[in-house]
Amino acid sequence: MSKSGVKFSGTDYGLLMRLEWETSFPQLLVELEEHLQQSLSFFSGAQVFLEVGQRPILQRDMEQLTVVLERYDVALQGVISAPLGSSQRPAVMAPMPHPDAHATLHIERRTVRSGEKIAADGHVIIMGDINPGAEVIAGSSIFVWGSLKGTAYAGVPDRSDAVIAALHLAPIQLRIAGHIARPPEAKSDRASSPQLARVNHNGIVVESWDRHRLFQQRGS
Amino acid sequence: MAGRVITVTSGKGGVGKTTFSANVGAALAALGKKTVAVDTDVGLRNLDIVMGLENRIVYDIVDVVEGRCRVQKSIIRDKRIDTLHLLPAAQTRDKTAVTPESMEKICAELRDMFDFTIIDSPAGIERGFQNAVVGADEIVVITTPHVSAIRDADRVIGLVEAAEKQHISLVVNRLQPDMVRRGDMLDIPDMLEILSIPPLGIIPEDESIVTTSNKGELATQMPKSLAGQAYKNIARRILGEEVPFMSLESSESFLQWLKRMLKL
Repeated sequence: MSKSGVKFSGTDYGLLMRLEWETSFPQLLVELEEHLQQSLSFFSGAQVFLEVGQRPILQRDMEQLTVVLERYDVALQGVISAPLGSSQRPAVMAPMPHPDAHATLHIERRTVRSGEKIAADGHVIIMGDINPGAEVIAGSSIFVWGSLKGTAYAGVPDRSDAVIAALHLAPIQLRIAGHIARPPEAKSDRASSPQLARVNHNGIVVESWDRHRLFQQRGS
Repeated sequence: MAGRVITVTSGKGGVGKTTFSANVGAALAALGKKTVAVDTDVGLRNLDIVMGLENRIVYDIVDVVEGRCRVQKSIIRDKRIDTLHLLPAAQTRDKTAVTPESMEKICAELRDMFDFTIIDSPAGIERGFQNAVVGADEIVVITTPHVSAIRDADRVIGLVEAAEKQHISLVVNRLQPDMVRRGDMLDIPDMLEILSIPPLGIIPEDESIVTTSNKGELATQMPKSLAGQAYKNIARRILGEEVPFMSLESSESFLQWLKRMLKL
C-alpha cells in the first residue's frame, strides 16, 4: 500500500498518532499493527496521544484500538479532538486514565439520563452528557466528553488520586474517594471551558482542563 | 391497514397528557384519519371526561383484557367527529388489571383497525406506564417548563430508550412566552439541550383549555384557541407536514401573528 492510514509524529509533549479517517477502521487496525510490528523496540513502552479531529469514535473501535496498543506495550495517554464547529479553535484534550494501568476502562457513548446509574470498577469515559438525576460511579477516574450536570463519584471507595473531568462541568454533586463537593450557589457562566476536579490537601478543587495543565501534571 | 400507535407519556402528573391525547386525537380525526384515543389510566380514568364521552361508556379496557367483550365493542365513537373514537379505562380497578402482554395484543388489533392509536399513559413509571408504552411505535414525551417536569421527562426518555423505542419526540406544554422573555421561565433551547430529543410541538398556556376540558369540549374545535391551534399543528407534523413552530409572542394577537407569518 502506498499511503498508510496511520501516521506517527513527534511533538513537544510526546508521540502523536493520527488516523486517516478515509481508511476504514478495521483496515486502520491492521495497518497500525504492521507499524508497531516493524518497530517493536521503538514503540515498546511508548506513550502516545491519539488525534481524532472531529471524527466521532465508536466505543467498539476505541476498545479494539486500546487492545492492539496494549499488545505492543504502548500506552494511550490521551485523545485529542477538535471541538465541533470550528477547526481553528484549540483542540480539547482528554487524558486517558494512564498511571493506573491495571484499571479497566468503561466507555459509554450516549446521554446518561435521570434515574440511570453507571458503575464500573475502573475508569469511566462518557461520550455524551450526564443529565441531572443521573449517577456515574467509578473505581478510578471519570471523564465526560459532554456536560456533567448530574452526580459523579470517582475513586470509590478510597482512591483520592482519581479525577473527574468534563467539557462542561456543572454537576449537582461531585465525590472523589471520601471527599464531597457541591458547586457554588452563584450561577456559573454557561460557556465555560473544560474543567477537571481533583483532590488536594483542601479537599476537592476544580481547575481548567487545558492541555497546558495536563502536561504540567504529567511532567510533575 | 397498518396504523401508527403513539403513546403520550411524561412521568410527572398534571403536565397535560390527557388534554394532549384528546386534542391531538381530535385534530388527526378532523384531518380525516380514523383515530382512537386509549385511556390506560385504569382506576383514575379521565380521558372520557375531557372528551365528553363519560356517559356513553358501557365496556372498558379491563373488560377487553378479561375477555368479557371484544375490542370493537368497547370502543365509543365521538359524537362530533365521526372518525374519532375512545377506548376507555376502567374506573373501579387498578393498573394490575392490565398486563403488558394483553396491551401489546390490543395495540396490534387497534393498529389494524385505525390510522392512529393515541395511548394516554398514566403518570408514573410503574405498571401503568409499562402497559402504555409496550405496544407503541412512537413515543411523545410531554413536559412543562418546570425543572421537576423536565427531570421526570428525562427519566422517562431513558426508560423508553432502554425499551428500544426508536421514535421519541418532545412536546413542551403550558409555555408562558412573557415569562420566558423576562427570564423567569426555562426557554425551549434549554429544555432541548437537556432532553436531546427532537421537538414535536410547543403549546402555550391557554385558559381555554380549562374551560373546554371542564365541559368535555375540544380546544381544537375552538377557532380562537391558541393551544387548539398548537394541537392542530402537531397533528399535521405527525402526518409528516412541515409546519413552522408558532410564534408565542403573547403581545400579538393570532391575527397579527397570521399576518406576520404570511408576510402581509
